[in-house]
Amino acid sequence: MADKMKVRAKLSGTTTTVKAIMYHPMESGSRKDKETGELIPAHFIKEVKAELNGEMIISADWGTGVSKNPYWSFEFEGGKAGDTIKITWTDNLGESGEGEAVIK
Amino acid sequence: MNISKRKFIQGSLYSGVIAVLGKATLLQSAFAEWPTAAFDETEYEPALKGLIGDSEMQEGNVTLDAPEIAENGATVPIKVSTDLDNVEWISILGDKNPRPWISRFYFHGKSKPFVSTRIKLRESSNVVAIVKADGKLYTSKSAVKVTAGGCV
Repeated sequence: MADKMKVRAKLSGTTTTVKAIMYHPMESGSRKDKETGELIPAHFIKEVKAELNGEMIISADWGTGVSKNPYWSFEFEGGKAGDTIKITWTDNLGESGEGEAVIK
Repeated sequence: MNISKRKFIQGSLYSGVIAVLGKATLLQSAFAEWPTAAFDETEYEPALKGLIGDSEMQEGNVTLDAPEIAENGATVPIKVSTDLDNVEWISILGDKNPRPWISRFYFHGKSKPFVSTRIKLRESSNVVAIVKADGKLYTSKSAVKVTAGGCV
């Protein structure tokens, strides 16, 4: 699933900053196909969660107003170099993706 | 049907119910309920009500960083943070979007109440950030002029 997400995690002082890009169309369901004129079905990430060494630190509910190929950055305390951040998403069609980064 | 067979069926029914309840509880602990009531609304006020019901919001205590002018409404960078303690969630809305509710982020143990994201804006609008902390709601908004609307 590495092709579905890029994740970086960097420690500065006591704060870890995570930056992630998830490759996903985030189709709203209200756009039309330019050639056929038919509506493109909604296809968007609904739920995302981020875990530090398996412990939940932040989670989110998303709608269709989140941009295509979602970018998400967040911060947390208590991480150490070598710890693993794992991000997992699930979309409205039941597909999922995940990505990991080791804190540097 | 003999008694032992009936008991067996009852037993398996009960354990099925318990398994389902157990799964629901696990999901609940990972995610609060996805806000369908807010998502389904196509106007700002009903979407806001779908998110927070009739609760009052206070202006302030929320730092919302949004561009004054967004050349591309398909990808507008937004940052939200707050100095408030015990933040439960931060939610983002766009008041002119076809679906005004955009996202909600939940903060667990070690996270800081900060989020950086990119959103779609159909046209020039107010971006609204709402923070729930210690059971109270705080809000801030920012006008964004969109020169090319996002395909929302």
